[in-house]
Amino acid sequence: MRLGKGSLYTFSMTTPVPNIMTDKPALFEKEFLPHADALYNFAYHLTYHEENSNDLVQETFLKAFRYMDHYEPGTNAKAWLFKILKNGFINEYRKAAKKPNTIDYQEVEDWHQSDDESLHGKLDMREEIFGDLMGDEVTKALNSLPVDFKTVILLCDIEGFTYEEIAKIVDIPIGTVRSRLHRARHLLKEKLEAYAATLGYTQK
Amino acid sequence: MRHADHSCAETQEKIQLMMDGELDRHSASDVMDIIDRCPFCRDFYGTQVQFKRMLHVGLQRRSCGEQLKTSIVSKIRGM
Repeated sequence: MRLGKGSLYTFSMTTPVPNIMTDKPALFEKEFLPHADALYNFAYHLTYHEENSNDLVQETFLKAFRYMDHYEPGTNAKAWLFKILKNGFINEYRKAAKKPNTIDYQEVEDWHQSDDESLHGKLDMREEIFGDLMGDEVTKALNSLPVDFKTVILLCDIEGFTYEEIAKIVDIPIGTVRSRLHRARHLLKEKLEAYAATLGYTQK
Repeated sequence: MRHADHSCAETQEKIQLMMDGELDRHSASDVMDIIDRCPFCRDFYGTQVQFKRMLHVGLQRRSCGEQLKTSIVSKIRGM
């Protein structure tokens, strides 16, 4: 569960340091709670369901509080919380996927893992196409990606985590973060290209 | 496409890294120089910029309500 490279205490000698053993709520409110909005945004784009997002965020914070002894003050609290939330979401997602009639068949549809040769062709979407796509189409396209792909796009493109942070949050090597991001973006662009076509746009 | 001074495929990989904040300033500056000179890399860069912008515009940020924050703090203090 521990993230970060060793201890990175940022408190100065004159700053009162919350004692993690005796003042956990104070440390929690100082280091964890400020990330509530970012966590909620991540949860919302994973679930597209307000109530589930609320539950996921609340459960994340309660778990974080329970396991605060594993957290080093001053290290990357945001990445640690995102990792907890991502794990919580994946667990729920797997549970739901095992239930009959609740499988999201969109998630298991065939998706291309084509090589880079088409970068100039299929990915060459022009400004006016992107510019006119509505938020709903972007949401639908992102939501139709396999969950692992959707996760890295949200973490990198929306939340701005580094590859190293994403590797720790998702538990994969940095090289896999790069390749997964590449494939995820490629697939998302293809999906958006299809939306653009339905709107009457044609590719140059 | 491979030019005398650069390979487009390699540069486009670096463009992606640069846009993800994974290149140091010097390497990013080299990439920007190529973008200035090569129409293919410039076109690719423009597409990536549009793509990032589209994601940010399309996926509007959602905020956690104050009620949820208050509820979390209350639960934590009761634990």
